[in-house]
Amino acid sequence: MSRRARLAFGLLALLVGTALFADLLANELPLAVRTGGVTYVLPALTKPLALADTTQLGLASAAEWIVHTPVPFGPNQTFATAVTRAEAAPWAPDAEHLLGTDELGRDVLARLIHGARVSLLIGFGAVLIALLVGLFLGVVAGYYGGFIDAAISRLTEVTFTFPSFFFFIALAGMLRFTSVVPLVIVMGLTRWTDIARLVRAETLKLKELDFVLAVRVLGASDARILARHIVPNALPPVLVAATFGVASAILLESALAFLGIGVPPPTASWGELLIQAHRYLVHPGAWWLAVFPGLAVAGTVLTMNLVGEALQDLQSATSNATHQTR
Amino acid sequence: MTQYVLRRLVQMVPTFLGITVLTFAIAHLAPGDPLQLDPESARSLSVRAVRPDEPLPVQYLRWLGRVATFDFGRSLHDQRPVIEKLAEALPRTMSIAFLALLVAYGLAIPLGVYQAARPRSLVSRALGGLLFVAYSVPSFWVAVMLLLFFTGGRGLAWFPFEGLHSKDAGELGWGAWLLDTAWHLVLPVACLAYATLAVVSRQVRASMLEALTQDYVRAARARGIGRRSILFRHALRNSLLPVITMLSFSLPYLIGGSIVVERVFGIPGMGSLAFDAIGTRDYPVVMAVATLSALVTMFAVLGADLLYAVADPRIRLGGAR
Amino acid sequence: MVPPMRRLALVLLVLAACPKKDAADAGASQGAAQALTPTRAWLDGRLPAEVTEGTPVKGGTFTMRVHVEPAGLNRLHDQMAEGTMSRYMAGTIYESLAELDRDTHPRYDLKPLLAQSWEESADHKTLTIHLRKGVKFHDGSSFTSRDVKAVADVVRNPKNATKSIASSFEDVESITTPDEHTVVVKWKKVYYLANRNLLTSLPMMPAKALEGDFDTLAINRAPIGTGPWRFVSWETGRALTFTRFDGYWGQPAWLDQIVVRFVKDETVAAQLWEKGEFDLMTRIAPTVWRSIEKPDPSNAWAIRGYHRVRFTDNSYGWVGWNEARPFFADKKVRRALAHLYPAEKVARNIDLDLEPPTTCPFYSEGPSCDPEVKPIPYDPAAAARLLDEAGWKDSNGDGVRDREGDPFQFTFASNAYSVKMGKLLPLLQEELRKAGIAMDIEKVEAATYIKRLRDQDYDACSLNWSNFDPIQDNYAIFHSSQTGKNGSNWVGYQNPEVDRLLEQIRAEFDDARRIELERAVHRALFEDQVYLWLTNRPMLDAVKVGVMGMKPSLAWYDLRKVWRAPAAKQ
Repeated sequence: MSRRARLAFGLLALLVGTALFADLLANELPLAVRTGGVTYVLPALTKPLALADTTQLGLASAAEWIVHTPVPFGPNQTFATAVTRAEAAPWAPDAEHLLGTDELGRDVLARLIHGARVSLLIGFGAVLIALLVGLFLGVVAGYYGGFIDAAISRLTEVTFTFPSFFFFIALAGMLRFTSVVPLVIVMGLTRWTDIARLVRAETLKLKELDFVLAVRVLGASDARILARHIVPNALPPVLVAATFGVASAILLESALAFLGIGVPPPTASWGELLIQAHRYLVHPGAWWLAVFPGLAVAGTVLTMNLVGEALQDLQSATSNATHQTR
Repeated sequence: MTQYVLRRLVQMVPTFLGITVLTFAIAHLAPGDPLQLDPESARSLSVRAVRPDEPLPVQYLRWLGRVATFDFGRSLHDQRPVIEKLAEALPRTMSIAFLALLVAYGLAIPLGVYQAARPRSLVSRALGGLLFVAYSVPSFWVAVMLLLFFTGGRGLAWFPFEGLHSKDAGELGWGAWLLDTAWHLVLPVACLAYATLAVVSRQVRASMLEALTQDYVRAARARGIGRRSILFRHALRNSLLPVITMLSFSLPYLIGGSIVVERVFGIPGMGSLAFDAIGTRDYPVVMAVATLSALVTMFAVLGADLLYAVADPRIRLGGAR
Repeated sequence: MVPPMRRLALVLLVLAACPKKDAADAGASQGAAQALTPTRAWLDGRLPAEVTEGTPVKGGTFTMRVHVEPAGLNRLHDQMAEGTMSRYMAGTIYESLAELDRDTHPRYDLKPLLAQSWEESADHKTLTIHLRKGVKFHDGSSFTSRDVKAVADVVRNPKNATKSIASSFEDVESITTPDEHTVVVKWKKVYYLANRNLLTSLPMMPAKALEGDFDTLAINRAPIGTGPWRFVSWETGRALTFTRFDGYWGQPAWLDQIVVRFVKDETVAAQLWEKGEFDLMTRIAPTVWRSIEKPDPSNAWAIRGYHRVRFTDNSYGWVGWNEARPFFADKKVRRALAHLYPAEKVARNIDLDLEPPTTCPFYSEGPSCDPEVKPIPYDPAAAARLLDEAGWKDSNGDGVRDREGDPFQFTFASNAYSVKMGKLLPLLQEELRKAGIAMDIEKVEAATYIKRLRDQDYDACSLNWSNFDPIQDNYAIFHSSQTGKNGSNWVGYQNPEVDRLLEQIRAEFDDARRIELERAVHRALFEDQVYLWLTNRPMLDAVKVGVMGMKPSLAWYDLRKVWRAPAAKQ
């Protein structure tokens, strides 16, 4: 594996780790605390009622001992440090809020960490749906050809040609976006065309190959041929495309959030921070709301693109290898 | 050739019909009534029903019939003919998209060739890294950053931050007017172009590198043909094919991207028109914009395919795909 | 992190740290530094007395920012009668028979405009109007009783989209024109606002211009009125231009031209304002309002170059609890929710202490609000008691209160484009969560929002009511007959006592007695916590130094009195 590929997978692991352990990285409650004679371990996960109204900052003075989370704020904790400040939020980066806060005094770093979860969920979720739809339609079109192929090709063209932003804005009114799920589904259902085209082309190639013809002569059913022989062989290039798809889905989500469509509040979303950045561009000039979330989006997209490249290299390496041995 | 074009055009018919059905369905199934833009004022609450009572399929056919003659009806919002609003907005969006395309390809090809010519030089590697990063940066963020740092908010006041013309643009001579417009277009076009630039230059570099290892290049080199000539006459010509294919993907991307760029830079183009029309449930405008941009995209794809066919003699037109 | 990325971040940070360019000419002299400290009046948003002093001179262009571009300029048309622009065109382009007298704040008595005088019969059912003579429209034709009738007829024609005005004319029995300068209106039944509405809400247009399809009249885009300015051009998406009308019947306008710049985006507007492009900047965002107060050289353009105006409109924000939902039907629950609303936190952090809290559905500076009604204080303990009493207890220990197996969980439908709600709801959500109430937030697009409210398809919602007349009929908002599609009682409020009071008000012509009834309505509505009343929305504007004669009022600024000081003084 090249250095670049290792870097790519390392970054991906870092991202996924951040998303998975967001609750332990940035939280209102500490990792562990002993207060009032009781020891709480990982209260962030167990959410004991006794600590329901408290925060790390509040506990710190009263507790016997306390283990803070790396970022001692929850993503939705508003005006946590308002007491010490005269000016109105958003507050610029300082020792308390390393990356500053948004207009509700919420810690930007905490929101970025929890936003990773949302972004990855949307990116991978949308691509998973797109993958399922694209694989199915592409394989069917390529394998059966004829009228079915023509119909699916037209459907692909319609979906590809239709202005997707328009689709989202219109659907935002139709569906009630109280969670990220509808957004993920709509994204998935509009972004399968590349995959379907790729799969169709691969299937066209594969179905003429000797081993597929052999299996067919042996009397295997279409479904079996498709599932056991075509799909697994068509998958590698599709996975590369899917990885780039994750990157573009994350970009799209942040652009949609910027247009006011997207995950419902108070979900931490990178795009939502960027809207605020636009609102406070000059007065009072909250540059930290523009810079850090932008870097988070760019970094994530970059990582996915790097992973895509690495997969591509791996795949062409293997196919070259097989080519040479043949 | 003619046969190929004809077949492609025939194929476009069902696609176009599919798009009109989709457009019509979205516009009519979306809840909400036509409304004014200021939802906070109580006055805008008086809204009248504008939907006719006919069944939807009948309405669809009627609409399709009118669209065939480019009659998109009147805007429910301000009662102006939709075609008039399109005529205002479309040239703005198209000229920005076209300029972005021009800038992107105009820069991408030399950059790609340079990187392929000196693959190991520091500049070319740095350039490669930079372009890769650029490709990953969201365009609206770039827009916000450009606004922040180059329009006087903080830092430099090199460019205007909104609109297409200065406030006194009407009084300028045409030369000055053109300069004024160009000055206003720098940031939006840059914003729209850089991602395409990154993708295309990477493609040019990759296919150039591949071409340079091909037998005919080696043969040319053996014949003592100059480096420059090999690069541009032989390798580049063959590397351009995949780049042409990318054209068909670039244009829809640029049209879609214009919504964000137009919003950030306050340009009253198709993107802004569509956004406002959807927000106010101005169906005739919504349907016209969607149909029109789909049409533009379809013809762009066709155009790119034809270019490809012309450029690559190996492609047998009309043959099996 | 990857090296290239860090480098990029560094570059950006360095750029971000660049000082603003006008910081260089900071505090060049002692005097300049002193002028940087804003005056009390500037901070409060009161125009200094000197603005209304001096002898007016003719000339100059007046440019103002408007945040929304109307669909058209025909003030009678529902879709074009967008509030903001209608207000700005009243008295400039269009004139009505009478206007609200800005000198009688906060009563706003009627003052003749195109009508010279009028008489009301003793039974209030007949109004005789004597029109001013010698009034000309911008197209040169004379204004007569025929035009008044034509305008009224257009409004009353059910085919036309004039619902927002037509409701004031439903009870008209007849409109007759005995001669060119007299109009007689007969009403079927008495209504306290009938004559006031008729006299002030009808902009006069030439009868001829109103002929034809109402939706596509030429005057929809190129209005013709009798005002001191006439319409010149409309550059879509950008600006409107009006110029002085030389045939005006009254005192000619001082300003040569009025330019209305449509700038939707707050950020862009603030930037254009900073460049000095507006003589009148409107709807300044609270954050911007506060951030320019710092006595810093970078704020010199605002502190030295503009006067600020903060004026309380007849407008209030409210939260509505859908009373058809089991949890909100109980008054105790609604009171508990009011106790949970973190009013001080919102005032300090979101409204930035700019919006006065209110408890009243009437004009807060008028006499119709009972001063004895006090806001419900933020008090989670009291809220908990009330919720317990109402039967909402956390019986299964999951942190959410429940009653008969149903958890107290609801969705707050929020207008997607409301900046204030975007900030306020996460705060409220946090407070409610601590009190054992689960609230979800749903952003709803504007077009769907109003429909959802009208269909009562929501749990909780929020909106702003505003009215340009200080006398306000609340029948359509709180009467039990006005639920659903009938009116604007979208929370489904029903109280026979309030119904009776609202009906009485409609037939009460004695001001003192009417005010008593209105105070009773205020008390009853607040007692029932029909809404969670939030704040009065202030007008936050700025007027360029050197623009004279500006004075805010419920009827907006009177541009007829505005003039520009000759440029020499600087």
